[in-house]
Amino acid sequence: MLLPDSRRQLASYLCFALTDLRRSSNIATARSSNSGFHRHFSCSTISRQKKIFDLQVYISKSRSPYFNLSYEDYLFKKFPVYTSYSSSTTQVPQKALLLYTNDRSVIIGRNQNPWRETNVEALRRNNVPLIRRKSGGGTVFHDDGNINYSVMMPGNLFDRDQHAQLLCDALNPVFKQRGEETLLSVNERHDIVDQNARKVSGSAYKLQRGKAYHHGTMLLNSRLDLLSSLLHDSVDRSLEVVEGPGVASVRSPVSNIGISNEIFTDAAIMAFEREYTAGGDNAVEVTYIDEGSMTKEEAQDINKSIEELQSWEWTFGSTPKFVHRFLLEDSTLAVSFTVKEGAILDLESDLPEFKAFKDKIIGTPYRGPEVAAIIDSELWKERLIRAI
Amino acid sequence: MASPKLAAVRSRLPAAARSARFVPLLRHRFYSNTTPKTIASVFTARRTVPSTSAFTVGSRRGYVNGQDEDTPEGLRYTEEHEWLALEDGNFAVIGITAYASKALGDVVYVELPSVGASIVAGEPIGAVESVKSASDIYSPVSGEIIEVNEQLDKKPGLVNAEPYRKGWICKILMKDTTELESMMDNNRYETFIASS
Repeated sequence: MLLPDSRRQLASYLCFALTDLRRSSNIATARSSNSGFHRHFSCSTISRQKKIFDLQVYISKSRSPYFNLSYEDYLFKKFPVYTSYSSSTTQVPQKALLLYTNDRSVIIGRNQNPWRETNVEALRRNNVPLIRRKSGGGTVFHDDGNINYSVMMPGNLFDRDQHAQLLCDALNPVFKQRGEETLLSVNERHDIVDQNARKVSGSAYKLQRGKAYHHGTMLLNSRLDLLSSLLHDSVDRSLEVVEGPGVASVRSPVSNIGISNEIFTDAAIMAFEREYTAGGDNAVEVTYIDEGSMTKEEAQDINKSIEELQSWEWTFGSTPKFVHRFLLEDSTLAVSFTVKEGAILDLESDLPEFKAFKDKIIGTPYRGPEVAAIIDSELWKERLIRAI
Repeated sequence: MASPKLAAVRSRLPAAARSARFVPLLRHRFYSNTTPKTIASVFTARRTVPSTSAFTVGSRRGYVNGQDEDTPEGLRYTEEHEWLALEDGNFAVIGITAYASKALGDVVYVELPSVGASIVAGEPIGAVESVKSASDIYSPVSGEIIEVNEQLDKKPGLVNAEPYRKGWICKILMKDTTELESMMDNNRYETFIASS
């Protein structure tokens, strides 16, 4: 497994330059700037030698969340594997930046429980697709007022905050120039927040052997009212309770930064080019992609991925074992389903409407229509079809 | 190889006392769970050759001062920071090292493989989530998953608290024991992490 190299971060903060410099072959620079005092650096006198990357930028013209997430997975699959024990120091490492915008959708983290983290009923009612991504973290709302960035990097250079900080440094001058008060920074939860501590961007990460990616959202001009009703104002907890393992989302107040897609894209690409390349005309290769620009092999791979993302088995069925309790208005338990691997493992109820069907219902896939088909009560049929 | 605690104590003794005769006495005081039946048996110079292939999940080996040792002896390690312990027969218990669990941060979820799944060495068998990061775990050996640590469902933090004991991840029935030869022992692994 791949590990974040916290020692490298610590080194640069505390200016124990020797380890850090050795690793980035910086000793020549250091000595020339501080000859004779090479043991006593202060951060400001070290000119950090820029690490040069082969930077590839991809911008997706597609608005389909299924395509965009699948393309991201595909890019990551193609991204070369770097291991500190096998890479040569002369090889120029790659870094990839993918920017994409999705149509209205709600994206949950790999290990989350959709019934707990989102209002499944409201999603269905508003026709908003629910998608489970491959990286960790919590639940986010995407629409065309939100842009997503994804940065892929070699494993030994994995860093949770570096790219978020770079984006802040790229955008803050834009706000200043427009006379706006907005000032972005990265908080301890690796989110980007504004000067009022409102979240404008959430992050998630995936680590594999030799490579990793950091992706995040950026609220430009998103429908925060919809975000609220689909995520924050979840299910009425006095009527429905979900218990089980899985990663819980941490709710934060949110805000838009109010710049356009184009301005964000330009600022981000310029910042990455300045920071990670030697500059010049061909420093960065920007590729526009969409469904139509895929080769046959790419399309095969991506379509398979799209199918998986659209499948109920991946989105709902892969939820870890949990208990879903439905309560009556007086807060007593009506029925409690224990669900494992997408199917009902057990049912607990004192109500005759459910007790009678206990044996029949065990083993049924946990999908509204299928569960409703087994029981008799019209009232409960309707409620379960909506809620499950 | 003596346990680290035993070695530490022994090194503090004067040279004369470090002979084989005294080994059983030291073993009794610091290592053994049982009291000898007679004093004479304490001085029986019977040296046990520790087996590097014997490790039982939950055994006291690798357990010092109430905490898991950083890199216990007797286990094998991979460059991806997984450890492997051999059990009777061809069983291998897999987990992630203390170094890995410290670097990852608080583990909030462990994705376990399915029992019965057949895997190839180098394939991912699950993932660990910590600090919004999903991090894949790879199997060092090929075989069949015969048991997974279901305690991790409710207590994923065991991976941080006891990475070598209660935080084990899965047990595999190995198909090909030659795959073990390319793994590192504790000394090589320590060198590896120190240099990375």
